[in-house]
Amino acid sequence: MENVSLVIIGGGSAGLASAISAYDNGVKDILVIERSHELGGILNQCIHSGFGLSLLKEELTGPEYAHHFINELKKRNIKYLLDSLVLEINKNLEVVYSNSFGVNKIKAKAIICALGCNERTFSQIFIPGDRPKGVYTAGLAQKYLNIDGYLVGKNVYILGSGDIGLIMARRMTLEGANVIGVSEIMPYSNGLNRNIVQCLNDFNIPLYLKTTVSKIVGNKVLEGIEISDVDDKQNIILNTNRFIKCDTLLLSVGLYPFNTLLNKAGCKKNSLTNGALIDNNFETTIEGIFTTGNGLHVHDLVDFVSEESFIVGKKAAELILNLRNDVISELNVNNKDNVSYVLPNTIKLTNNNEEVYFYLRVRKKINKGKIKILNNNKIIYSFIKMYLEPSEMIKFKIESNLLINLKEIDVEIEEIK
Amino acid sequence: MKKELYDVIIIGAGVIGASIARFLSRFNVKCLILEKHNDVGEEASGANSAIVHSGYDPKPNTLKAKFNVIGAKMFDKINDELDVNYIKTGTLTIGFNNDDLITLKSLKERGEINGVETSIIGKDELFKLEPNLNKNVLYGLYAKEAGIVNPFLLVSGLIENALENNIDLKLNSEVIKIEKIMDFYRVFTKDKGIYETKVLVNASGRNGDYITSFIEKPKFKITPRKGQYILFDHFDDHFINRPLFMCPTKMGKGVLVSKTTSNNYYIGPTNEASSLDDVSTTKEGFDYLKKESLKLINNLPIKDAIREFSGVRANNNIDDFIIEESNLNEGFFNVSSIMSPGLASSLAIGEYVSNLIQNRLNLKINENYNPYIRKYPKFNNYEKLKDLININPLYGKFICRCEKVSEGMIIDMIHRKGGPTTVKGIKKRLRAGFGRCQGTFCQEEVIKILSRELNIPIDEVNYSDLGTNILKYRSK
Amino acid sequence: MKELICINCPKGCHIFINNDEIKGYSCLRGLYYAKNELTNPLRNLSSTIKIKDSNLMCPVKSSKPLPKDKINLVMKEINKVDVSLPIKFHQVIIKNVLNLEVDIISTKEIN
Repeated sequence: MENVSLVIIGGGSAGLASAISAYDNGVKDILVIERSHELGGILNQCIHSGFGLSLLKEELTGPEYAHHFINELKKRNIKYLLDSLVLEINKNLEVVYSNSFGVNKIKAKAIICALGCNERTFSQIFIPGDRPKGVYTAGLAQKYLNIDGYLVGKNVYILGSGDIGLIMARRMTLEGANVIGVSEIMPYSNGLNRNIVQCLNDFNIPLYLKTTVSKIVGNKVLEGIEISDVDDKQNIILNTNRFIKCDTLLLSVGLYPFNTLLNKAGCKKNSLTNGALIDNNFETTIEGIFTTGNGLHVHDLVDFVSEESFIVGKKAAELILNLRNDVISELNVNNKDNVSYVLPNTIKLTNNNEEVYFYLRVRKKINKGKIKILNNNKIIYSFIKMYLEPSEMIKFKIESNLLINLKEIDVEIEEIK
Repeated sequence: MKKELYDVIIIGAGVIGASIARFLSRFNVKCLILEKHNDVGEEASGANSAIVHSGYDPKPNTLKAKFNVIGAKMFDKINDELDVNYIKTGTLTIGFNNDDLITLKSLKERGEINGVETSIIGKDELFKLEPNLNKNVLYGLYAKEAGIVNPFLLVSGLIENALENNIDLKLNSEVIKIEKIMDFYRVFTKDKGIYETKVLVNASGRNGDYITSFIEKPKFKITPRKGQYILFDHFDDHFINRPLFMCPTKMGKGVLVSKTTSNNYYIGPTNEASSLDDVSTTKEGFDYLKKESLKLINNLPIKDAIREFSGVRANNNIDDFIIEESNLNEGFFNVSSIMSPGLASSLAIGEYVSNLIQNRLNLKINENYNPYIRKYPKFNNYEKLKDLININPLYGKFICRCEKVSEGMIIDMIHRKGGPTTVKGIKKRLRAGFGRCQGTFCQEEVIKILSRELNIPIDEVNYSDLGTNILKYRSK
Repeated sequence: MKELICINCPKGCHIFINNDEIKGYSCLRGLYYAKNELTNPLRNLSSTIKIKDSNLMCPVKSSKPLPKDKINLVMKEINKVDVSLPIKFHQVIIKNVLNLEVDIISTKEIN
């Protein structure tokens, strides 16, 4: 059986950044295993710009952002495989992968899972009606258009005003489709404001807030949809349905991590994110298996994926190179008021006094919020932040000596009027 | 118009038409199957509970009872011959109180009359068999001679075998008119085909009475009933081990919780009046299924649902199968309203009807009949996968990550007789696109492989029926 | 008083223009954006170009923002051409498209 120090599963933005970081932190024996025919992951089909402003101080398109990281990977001669699917990983840090050359098993000292996320489909949000051809996730329609050069339809309706939906509204219009409208179930869009302007307003595409698609109509091919108004709890208001003729319905209704590999290996799952439970080293409940990127929790911007993955690459290197200090204290992290989830789930402290990073999302829009870390109702750390919304991940770090000898902390956000 | 002359024409390539064709291919016969859709098994045969019932449930002395009991016993052999993933899991019917116990006992008695052995078990044994049952369950009726099967592979396997044994199949050939000319039947299809045949078999499912009416006044009326299902991802290989039924009521077998041969779980069906082509799902349906299934299993993770779908069953007003040669029109065989337990009965029906036809036409044995299809390239361990890759490297190139389907497997399936030419056809037989991501990652590659292997332009690859091509408009 | 949302970066600052007074931007790019938006709105364009003898597309972008009202015409120009392999990163595919002093360049290296 072949031995490789660090196996990274996934050659998209998270995989690339963690590979580069692990290398720069001393691990040279790395293998990145990518199932597609090229590195870059989803960036390859995100041909629009908006990436890199934070990390690279330059506004780049998806392929350009990928190009930068692929170059950095190649500069370091980091090995990678394409068209190769990892079939299994286990708690002994063995990785089984397959490609047209055969099936191989590798023994690693650490594994980083950077599998990315899935798009929610119409079945998962239970849209009733027929099951014709013509309903696609926005990402699939994007792939067909940007990679293969085909529009899946010419009269398009979009459900969900997240960025993917908005970007596709513009893209399809530029290539000759008629985008009839966008429905958003909330009373506000969770896409970036700039995208409302440059994707909807620029093309006079209407945005219907507090509406949803309540029925799909069409026997073999999509004939149209019904949209209905919803109330403040996102429930459909009866008798508000109206028919909209269209040949394509695009869904931009959420992304979520999906990690059969981790689940089957025995890594405990985080039921709030659908990713794995992790500690402050981004290590799962199985020692040596790390996870990062959208496969851990969905990020707002690829820059933040890279930032996080740089940290994870370093943490994996520390494990491999035996640079970890002993754990002197361990605590659990709970999400409480107004926090829909927080990472990490557990914190293992050493006498290093290094910083502990927290990542969380607020449950609802809050104008002025006090983010608090409490232990037994006593505030250990807090700060105030304005204009909190679920679509903007909150990140902060604290000194670990604030957490020594605690067994449990609660993270909550107090709404300040 | 060129007319083609056949001994037998079978209308419908669902499980019944496929079964009749396959058993008919034991004889030397010129036989054509006419299928309305662009693939076989597209209607009820592609949207059902996938359960091979043991046969205790149908009313005694009905055709349902007769063919269910014989048919269920034929699945072991068909599994060996056609590789249909049949697993004899047994089934459990669950009771919660004394009234239910009385019902279960009467079902047991009914089973005995039908020739099926079942046993009544108590709470302890129930939980040994199914640890995830709702704590309130008290009694169970256990039927050993029942199981689950892959209905898509059943239909495609029967068809492939029939075609290998010289039966013909024409897809996209909806029958629009039938004339009786002396002792021949002249069949007209939508794609301008005209065929003449001595024996005509109506296996058209929910269009059974409509097809019959071209020839004679139907003695029955199809009363279509829709069944909605919710399908879940594989979240646990041993969540439940066999189909679980609620104690039946007058309306039918009730909602069941079951697993498929690929370890997906599902709940369903509802039982609603429907129109012939209404396969829509409804919010009321989802809510009903979620509520009812909680009675059996109280921790089904609704958020792991990956698909809802409906099937329409061709129930009829006499509540039994129609399997007979018309006494008014010789040579016209009506095999209609094969409602539940249709799947379980299908092999017995196919064998029986083919024997009737053999008798009617005095057919000779086909010396070259081979009941086996080429086994599917599968792997249940890495050694087997390595062997496959040695035969063809494309067995190592995975296309569908969710369901572990490789390019070699897709190519193998496309080139079988009666093989898929559509995205949905690949989905049904190989599960590529059936899993968690519902094709968002693999559908593009499936389209490319179909285009290449079938030598058709990429924008002509259909999702299902003709005219459902996915890549509609070239952007430049 | 006009209210604009700056599209230069994900922040999306709300900028208010009152006659000649511009407020609300948090960087100079926002100021320039606001100045242009009312008189000569500009937009970045990204699209794809067909690769010769291939079924695949090459992603491209405008080297600078283009006049918003010329976007459709530029799209037509992009859709007229195809490009042969190999394609270098940032290779100029259409020089000075429609005399707008903007190039259409590849955003990917394809061999």
